[in-house]
Amino acid sequence: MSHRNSPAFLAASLSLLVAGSALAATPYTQATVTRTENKVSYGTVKGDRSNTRPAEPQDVVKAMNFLLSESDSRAELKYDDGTIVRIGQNTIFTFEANSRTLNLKKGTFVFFIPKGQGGGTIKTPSLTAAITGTVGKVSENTIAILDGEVVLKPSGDVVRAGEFARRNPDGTIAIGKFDPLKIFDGKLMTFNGPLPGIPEKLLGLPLLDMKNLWDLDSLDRVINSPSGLQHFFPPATPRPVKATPEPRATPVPATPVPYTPPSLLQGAGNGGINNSGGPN
Amino acid sequence: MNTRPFLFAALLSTSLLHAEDGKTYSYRSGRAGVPQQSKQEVEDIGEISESTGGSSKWRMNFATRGQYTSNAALTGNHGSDDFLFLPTFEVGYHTPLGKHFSFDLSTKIESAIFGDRSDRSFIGYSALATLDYTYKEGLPRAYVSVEPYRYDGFDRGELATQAVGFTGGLDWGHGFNAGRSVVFTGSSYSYYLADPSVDSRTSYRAVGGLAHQIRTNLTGQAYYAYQYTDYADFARHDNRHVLAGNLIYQFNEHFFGTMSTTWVNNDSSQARGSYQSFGGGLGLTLQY
Repeated sequence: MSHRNSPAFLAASLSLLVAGSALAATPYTQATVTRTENKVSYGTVKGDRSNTRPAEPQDVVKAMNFLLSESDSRAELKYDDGTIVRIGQNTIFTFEANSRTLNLKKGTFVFFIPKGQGGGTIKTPSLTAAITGTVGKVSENTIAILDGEVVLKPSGDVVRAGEFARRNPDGTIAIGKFDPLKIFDGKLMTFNGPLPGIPEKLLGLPLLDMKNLWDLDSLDRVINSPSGLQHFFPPATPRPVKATPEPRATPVPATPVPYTPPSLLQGAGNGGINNSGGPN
Repeated sequence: MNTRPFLFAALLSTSLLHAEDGKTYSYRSGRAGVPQQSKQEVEDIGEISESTGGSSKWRMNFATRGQYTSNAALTGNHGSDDFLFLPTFEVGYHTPLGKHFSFDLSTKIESAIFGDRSDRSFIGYSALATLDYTYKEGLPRAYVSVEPYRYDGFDRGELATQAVGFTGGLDWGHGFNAGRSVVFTGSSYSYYLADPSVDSRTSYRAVGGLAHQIRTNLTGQAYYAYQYTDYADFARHDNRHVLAGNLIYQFNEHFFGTMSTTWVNNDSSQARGSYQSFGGGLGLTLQY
C-alpha cells in the first residue's frame, strides 16, 4: 500500500504546510510607538520585577516589553509587517514574537493585520482566537470582527465580519451580530487617523441605497406624465360661436367668425397639450 | 500497513478534546444578553451591542411622510403649493446568489394624498426586481432591474397609468474619513413600456452625492441628480435637475425618522411639462 494515501502522510504534509506558512510570517519581534496620548508607560520585565518609564513616539517595543496606559491615555503601535495596534485607557498590552500573539492583560485595543502576513493570535483574559488578515476590536471579554474572521480556540467556532464573541459571566461564549451603526464608534477608531482596512461593504451606511433617491418619481409618473397632463389640463373644447350682429344702420350683412382652437402640438392626436410656451 | 486504528485514535483524541471544552461551551445567539462594558471601554472601542435585526432575507417597511410642496400641479413655477401625505408599505426580499451576484425584490403599495388638490391623489402598486453584480469589493456595482407598476387616481377611480420599466445601471461608493463618509455616484438607463402609450419613454439618469454619518444614529445625505427623458410615442423630452438633502435619524434598528428637502427643475419641450418645485418634509419609517 502506498504511504501517499495514508492519514499519517496527509497529517505530515499538513504539518509541513502549516510550518511553511508560519515560517513565511514575519515575527512580531518589535513594534514602534507611533503616537501616545497622556500617560502611557513603557515597561520592561526582568525576572519577577518590572521597570517602567514614560513611553514616547518612536520608542521600540520588543516582545519582552509591555505598554501600560492610565485613564484617558492611549497609544498606537506599528509592526514591521504593517500591523497596527491601538491600545485604550487603563490597558496592559504585550505581544509574543514568533507566535505573533497580541496579548491583552487588561483594557482594550483595536487592531489591523494586513492580509497575507501570516495572521496571528489574540489572547485576552477570557478569550483566545486565531486570526488572519483582520480588523477588529478587543476587550477583556469580547472580540468584535470588522473584517476577515477569527477562529476561537479551542472550540474552533468561527467569528465572521460583523460578529462578536463574548465570554459571559457563566463561562459560556456567545457569538452574535453587532449593531452595524456602531462599528466606527470609539476613540481608537480615529486615534492617529482612520484605522486602515475597513472594508467597503461596511461603508454602505444604512439607508444609502440609491434606489431610495427616486422616491418622488411616483408624483411625476402620475401627474407630470403626458397622460397626467392630459387629464389635469384637458384640451379646450371648441365652443359654438354666434355671429355678431352688426348695427342695423350698416347695410352689410353679418359675417360669422370661425372659432380658432388653441394651437395644438405635434401630439395633438394624443390630447392636444398646449405648446404655446415652447421649450423652456 | 493498517491505517484504521491510527485514524480511529485520531478521531477519539479529537472527541476527547472537544469533551474537555464543555466548560467553554459556545453558541450562536439571537440574543447574547446585555453588553457588560465599562464606560471607558465604550469610550475607546464603542458599544458592542447585539444587532436585533437578524439576518432574515425578508424585510418589511411601513413609511409615512408629510411633505410641503411649492408646486403640487407639477407645472409652471411654484404657485400651487400644497401639503402631501405619502404613506408607503413595502415587503422586500434580498438574497446573495453566489460570490458576485445578489437578487432583490421590492414590492410596494404607495399613495399620495393631496391636501387641497384631492383630484390628484392616487394609489400605486409596484414590484421592482433587481439583479446586482459586483466583481470585487470596492468596484462599481452593475445591476439590471425590471419594474411593473400601476397607479390609480382617486378621482377617476380607475387606471391613471401603468408600465413595465427595464433598467440597467452602474453605481459606486467610496468611503473615507474613517468610514464615516461615503461619496457616491451612479448612472442608469431605463425603458418604460407604458399604457397609455403616450407615457412610454426612455430615461437616462446620473447621480452624484455625499453621505456622512454625523453621529452614531444620524446620517446626512446630499446629492444632485440629472435625468433626461424622451417619450417614445409623443413629441416630448425633458431635462430634469434635482438637488436634495436628507437627514436620517435612527431611533433604533427598526424605527427611523427622515427630514428631507428637494428642489426640482424640470425643463420640458412641452410647456405644461416644465416646472420648478421646492419641497420639504418629515417622515417616519418602521422597518423589520
